[in-house]
Amino acid sequence: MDVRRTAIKFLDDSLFFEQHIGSKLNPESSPRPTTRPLIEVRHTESHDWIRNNFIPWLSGCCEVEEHDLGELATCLSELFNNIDDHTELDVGSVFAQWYPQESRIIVALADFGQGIPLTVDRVCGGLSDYEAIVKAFEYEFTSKSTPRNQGIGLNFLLQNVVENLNGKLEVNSAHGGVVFQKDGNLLRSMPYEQKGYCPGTLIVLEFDTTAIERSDGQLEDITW
Amino acid sequence: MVIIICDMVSSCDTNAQGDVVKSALLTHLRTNQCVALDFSGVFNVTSSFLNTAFIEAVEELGLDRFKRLVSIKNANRQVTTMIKSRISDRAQKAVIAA
Repeated sequence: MDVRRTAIKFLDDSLFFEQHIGSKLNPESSPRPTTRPLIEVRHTESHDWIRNNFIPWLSGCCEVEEHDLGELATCLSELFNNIDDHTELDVGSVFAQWYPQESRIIVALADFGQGIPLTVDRVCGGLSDYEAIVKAFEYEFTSKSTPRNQGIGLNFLLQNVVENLNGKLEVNSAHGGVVFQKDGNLLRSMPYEQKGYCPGTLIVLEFDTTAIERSDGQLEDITW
Repeated sequence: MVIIICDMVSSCDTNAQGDVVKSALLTHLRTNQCVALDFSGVFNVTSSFLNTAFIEAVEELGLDRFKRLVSIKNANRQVTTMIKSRISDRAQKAVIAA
């Protein structure tokens, strides 16, 4: 098998070249049923894209009812809200791949902002790039980019993907990279310094969809 | 008084949408009217929405008065968990502050 040719075909089917050089390499290339192709989504359209495009697609792939994917939808919405709060360009680049034989989903979301280390540095200086990434995921850590930020969103993502679904979260920004994953019952962050430079922030979440809690979708009244 | 969230905002994703709900909520709560918030048809809520719609209202009225006057109806699992978590967090902060 020609690995290089297969990889390029995959990228072409995923609309990578259409996105970055304006056209597909092969006009007949088209997104595979197991892929949500690479697209740029503006913040104003992001939440609708998540609910009306991504969630129905994933529900069809992994046979989990849409009402049980609300937590995942919120994880992605929190990331798009972060892009809106922390970057001048309110656009994210998103891609998703479903692996049917492993019941595994990978979602990658990147923005083109100043990156986590610079944002964290405004309120908590002196950290390395990977330390800044770990800091940004702490519960209630906020750079107060907008006065209403309370530092919940990124931690919600961490709790849901890693803690609840036993998945993996990898974050790259500037020279830093961190993998968040469970080791036994403990949630661990494994930082590393990457060789290249990542402008903005890239977040990749990955988990086994059989770990998603199933329910009958019953609505309830909350008592305090 | 019942406020149907779907009639007020198209979704519960942003601070701006939270603002709309908070304004309606506070109009009634300031005059001590009980309000039931009906989340029928709401797929999910974000922390940004709740920070504005609920937490800012809690800060203005106090947690006890908020809980006495506000009830939540027809919330799905994600909405229920997120609301309970944000309110319980606020309650813990009130205990620590006291």
